[in-house]
Amino acid sequence: MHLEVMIVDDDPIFRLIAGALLKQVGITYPQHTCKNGQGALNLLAQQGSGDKKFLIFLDINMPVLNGWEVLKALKDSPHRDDVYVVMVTSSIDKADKNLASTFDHVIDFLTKPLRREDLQALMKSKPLASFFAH
Amino acid sequence: MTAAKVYSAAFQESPDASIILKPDAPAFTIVDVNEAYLGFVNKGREDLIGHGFFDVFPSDDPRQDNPGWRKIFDEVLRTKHRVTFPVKKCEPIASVAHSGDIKYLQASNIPVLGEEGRLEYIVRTLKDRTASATHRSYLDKTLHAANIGTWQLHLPDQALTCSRSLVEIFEMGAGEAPDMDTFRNFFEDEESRNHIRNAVEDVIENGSTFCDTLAVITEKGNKKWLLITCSRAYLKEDGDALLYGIMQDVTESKSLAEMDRLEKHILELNEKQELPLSEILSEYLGGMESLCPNMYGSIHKIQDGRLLRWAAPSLPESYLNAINHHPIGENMGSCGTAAYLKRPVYIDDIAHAPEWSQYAHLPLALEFRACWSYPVIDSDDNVIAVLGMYYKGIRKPGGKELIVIERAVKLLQLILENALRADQLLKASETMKQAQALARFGNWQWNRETNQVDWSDVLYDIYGVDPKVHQPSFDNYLAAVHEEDRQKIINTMRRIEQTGEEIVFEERIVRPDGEIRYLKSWARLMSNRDGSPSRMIGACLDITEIRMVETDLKNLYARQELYLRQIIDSEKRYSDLFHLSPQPIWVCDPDTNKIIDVNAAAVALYGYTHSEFTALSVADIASACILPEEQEPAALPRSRTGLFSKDVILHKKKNGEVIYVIVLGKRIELGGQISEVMIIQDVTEKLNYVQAIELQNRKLQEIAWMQSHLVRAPLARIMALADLIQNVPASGMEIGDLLTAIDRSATELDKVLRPIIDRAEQIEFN
Repeated sequence: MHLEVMIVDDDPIFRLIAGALLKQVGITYPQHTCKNGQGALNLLAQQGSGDKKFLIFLDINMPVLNGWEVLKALKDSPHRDDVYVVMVTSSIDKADKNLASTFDHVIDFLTKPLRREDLQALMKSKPLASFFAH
Repeated sequence: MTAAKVYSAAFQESPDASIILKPDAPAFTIVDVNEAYLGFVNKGREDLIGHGFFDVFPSDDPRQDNPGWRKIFDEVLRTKHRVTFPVKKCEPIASVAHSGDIKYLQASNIPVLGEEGRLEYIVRTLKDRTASATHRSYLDKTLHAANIGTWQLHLPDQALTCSRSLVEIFEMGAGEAPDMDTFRNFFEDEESRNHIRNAVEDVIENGSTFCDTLAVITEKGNKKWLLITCSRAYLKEDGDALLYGIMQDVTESKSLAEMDRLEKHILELNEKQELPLSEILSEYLGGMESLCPNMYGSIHKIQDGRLLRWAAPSLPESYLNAINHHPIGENMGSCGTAAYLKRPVYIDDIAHAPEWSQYAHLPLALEFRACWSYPVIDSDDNVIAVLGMYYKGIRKPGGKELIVIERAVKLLQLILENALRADQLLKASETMKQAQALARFGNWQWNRETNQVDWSDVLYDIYGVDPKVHQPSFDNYLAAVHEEDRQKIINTMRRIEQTGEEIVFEERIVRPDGEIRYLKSWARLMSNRDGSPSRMIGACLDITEIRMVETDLKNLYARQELYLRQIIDSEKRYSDLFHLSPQPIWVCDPDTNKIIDVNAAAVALYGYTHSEFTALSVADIASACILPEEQEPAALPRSRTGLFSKDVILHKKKNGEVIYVIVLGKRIELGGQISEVMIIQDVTEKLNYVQAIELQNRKLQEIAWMQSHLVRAPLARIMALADLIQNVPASGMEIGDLLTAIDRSATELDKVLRPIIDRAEQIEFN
């Protein structure tokens, strides 16, 4: 199974920093970046297929289509089984984390700035471990 | 004077009419005649002497001395014995002067035998037996009146001669006379026949006299008892014998004797009380039926105006069922009518009696034609029963039967009244027992002479002892009395004995199982004629339940008193609670909403005086506006069920100020009227405070949000950039680019923090 990475955030600096950091920790799969949720859904519609999974780093507060709206849309998407979503936000509000846990696709909730240890733990987590077994 | 002259003179002067005849049959020539004879036949001497007897007296006229007696003359010729004829009644002869009254004559033909026994003359005399015949007539009448008949039996030819009275006793028709066969069959049974045969043989052989009473059934089928005597007149060597005797109808006396025996038997049965009354009555009727052949008896009880079958041993079941429960009344059969009219009803022919017009078919179907009914009336003049006597055949009661009926009715009156009174007594006794049991009332008596104490059944029950084991005595009684009451009882008994007073007292007894019972007793001393005390009698009533109820009532009263005091105290407390409560409270009429009462706190809150309040309605105070939903503080109670059910509403004080209140209402009953107690909770201050807090919260939330979302974003970026700078080679980025990015993020962060500080300065935490 092939894995591709999607960084969805309206902050271009964050997209830049996140792309560099992921590579540093070993998440070297192909990267896509989107500046809002709608871009992410479009990309998924264009490139999603049964033999490919997307690891999506999704920000909450974005223009056009925020992170919550992306999650709701994914529930009815034909690609709902092709994605692993990691929520990434600068909010420290616990309510956000609780809300995120109610969506099936969300496998982790990380606060900005991304830390290496969190990403390394993510790679070892159950749904992703098989992609980083080497 | 020669002997011939003497005889001639004696013959002529003899008072007996005599005539001398020659035995020259058939002429029988008259040789001589005396004066008495001439006077009797009213003829002259020349009319007779020398003439043949039957020439002079050709007719059968006894006054002509020829009442058909020629053959008797022949008998003298044949036997040469004196022949005396029975006394003959002779009517006076109208044509003959001085023929006089009825005469009874007895003729005798006396043979006068000469030498060698030759018959030379026949002296015929006529004796006037009128006097003795008159006596004989009286005797016959007496015999007839005494139901005595005479009889004689000539054995060789079995010739039975019976007097007319005897024929009447056997109830045979005129001109009939019993022969030996008929006579034997009159006896009731073979045993009687054998008895009489043996007796007669004994009389013939031994010359003894037989006398016995035997039953016969007459020609008409009636049973009669005859006193029979038998004597032997003569017994000749050749076996010729003549028996004679009398038979007296002693049925009546025998019946009365039998009746006596039956009544004695019935009275004995009744006294023993071993048999039910109906069986005793059946026994009695059976006895009466044997005394009165062909009679079928019945006794019906009269109850509630109806005939109730009591006894009828011989009447068919179907008939008894048909008349059972029939009402009494006029023309309701013999018994129904007799019971109704309270007098005997003798119906000799049911088929034509108006009394039987409705029901005649019932007895007639069974061939009953006569029914005599006699009411049995008690001493209170109530008809208690009716005796019925049925016969198959038209029949009127005779004297004897009436006697039997009257005696039977008297006995029935005795037995039935006795039985009914005994029954009443028994019922009364049972009722008394039942009443004693129900009322738990018992009585006792103490024989002072024998020290014997007797208790009624209920007393054993009251004392809780077994009547089979417990021996009542005064000592046992005292032992059962509660020890606290014992001395009182001893004193009471002494008082009764000393004063003879009748005393009512109460005592407690302790049953063997320890249960205490309360008794109310009464005792009285009974004395002998000489005034000495003989026995004490008394009764006691178990009043334990009454005492318990009294105790319960006392306790209940005490509790009620306590409750009443508590209620009074409670009312005061509630009044104090109302008036002294710091919480504003008013009471209003739920129908009119008029305020009835308010407490001091309400007066203080609203500014109205008490009297101003009671002139207002709730609507005058309540602005009737419930807080709009968006204005309603979430923190306030919103319960809509249970005791308190009001929302936050606005009230207006007397000074016009509007306050937020919650009204807690409860409907109560006061003096029979429904009122509503409303407790006012002024929440204005609380509401204002909560609203202020909420406003602060909202501001703090905004700050927090800004901190979370606006401040942390550039801060997180700086932190990430710093990390990348430390790991420049690994990130693959230029250091200059990273520093530029840090500068932009710091500027952005400063821009974000300024409005946050401004907002925080607006919050007041007082």
